[in-house]
Amino acid sequence: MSPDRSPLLELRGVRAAYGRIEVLHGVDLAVPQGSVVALLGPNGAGKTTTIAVCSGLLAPTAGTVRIAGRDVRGATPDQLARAGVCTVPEGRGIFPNLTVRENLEMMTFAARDPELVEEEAYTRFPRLAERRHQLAGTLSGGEQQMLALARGLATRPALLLLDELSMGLAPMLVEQLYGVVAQIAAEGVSILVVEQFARTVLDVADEAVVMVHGEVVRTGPPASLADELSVTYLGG
Amino acid sequence: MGGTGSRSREPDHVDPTMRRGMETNQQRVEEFRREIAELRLRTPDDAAERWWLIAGLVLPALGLAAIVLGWWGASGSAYPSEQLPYVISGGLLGVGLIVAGGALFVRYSLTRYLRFWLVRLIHEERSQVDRQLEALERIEALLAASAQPRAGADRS
Repeated sequence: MSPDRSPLLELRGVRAAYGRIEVLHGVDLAVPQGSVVALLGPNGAGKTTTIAVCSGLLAPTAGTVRIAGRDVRGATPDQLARAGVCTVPEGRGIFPNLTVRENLEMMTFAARDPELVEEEAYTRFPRLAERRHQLAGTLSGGEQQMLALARGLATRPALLLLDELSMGLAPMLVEQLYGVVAQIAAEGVSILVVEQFARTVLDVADEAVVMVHGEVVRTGPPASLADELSVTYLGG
Repeated sequence: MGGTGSRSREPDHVDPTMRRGMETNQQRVEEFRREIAELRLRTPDDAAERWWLIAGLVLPALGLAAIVLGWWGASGSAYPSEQLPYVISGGLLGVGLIVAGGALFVRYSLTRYLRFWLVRLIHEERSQVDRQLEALERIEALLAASAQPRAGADRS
């Protein structure tokens, strides 16, 4: 039997609402296996809501969310996380009062060896090894984001959802982090990355999807979108 | 960082260590597909939240009624041994229902409030984008208008 090559994540006509107010008006996107898809758009475009739908935090009011070919309507966020859908949220989502090491140990819930998790994290981010006994809340923004990413990777994700990785970071650090994202993608992990500052992610993406006001307005290869991004962002 | 997308993920350019990683990841993806296929999904009930909120209103009312009934029963007797069952079934049950109902009401009211707050935030951000667009259009028009006379002066 040939292996299943259906997209690891596929949204078809997804609508989502907070109460009675709809914020996603029929979103279509697909993340093929082993690819990086950049979801771009200005503030309030619905990018984070899309991530919430993909990770099971928010149920769509219409349309289908397929993960690994299965409609996962009704799946809880912890079911998806245990299977291998990992979300690195906006604002990093680390425990500021725990040390780097303890933060990593918290991610060994899937019966992974804590030493192995640490070794992988420190190999990927040598800076974290130097800070292993330091409280996460006292790390710099870039180091906190490295820790958030390392925590996500500790779960051995098959599908990684990254929300605003570059938020509040210096351009050099952003470049460094996206270098790691490219490396993760090269290892075969499928990635949906949400970014407001598009140019930082276009170099690593295989496809870019632009959202404005809860709708997908453009989809295509990053090269074709790069020049007209500001026009597309602003609905021109 | 440039050029690290699919272009650099061509099999010919992958070193042996990374290739081993990709093979391992292929196994991981198969495992992931299997686990997703085996998930036990419950049918989401969109009306559940509304019912919990109604329960949060109804339970305290029932609790008050239980307390009133308990008081009414206990007041009919001068003997503590006869009053005790009314205190337990009326008073304690009543207080329990009020606490449980209050907790449900607070929990689901907060959810609604936070949701409203989030929607308000999204609405404001979208309005901000529209205002930025209008401002850019004004700047563009001004630039175009100021460029025209200069072009005319250059020609003359």
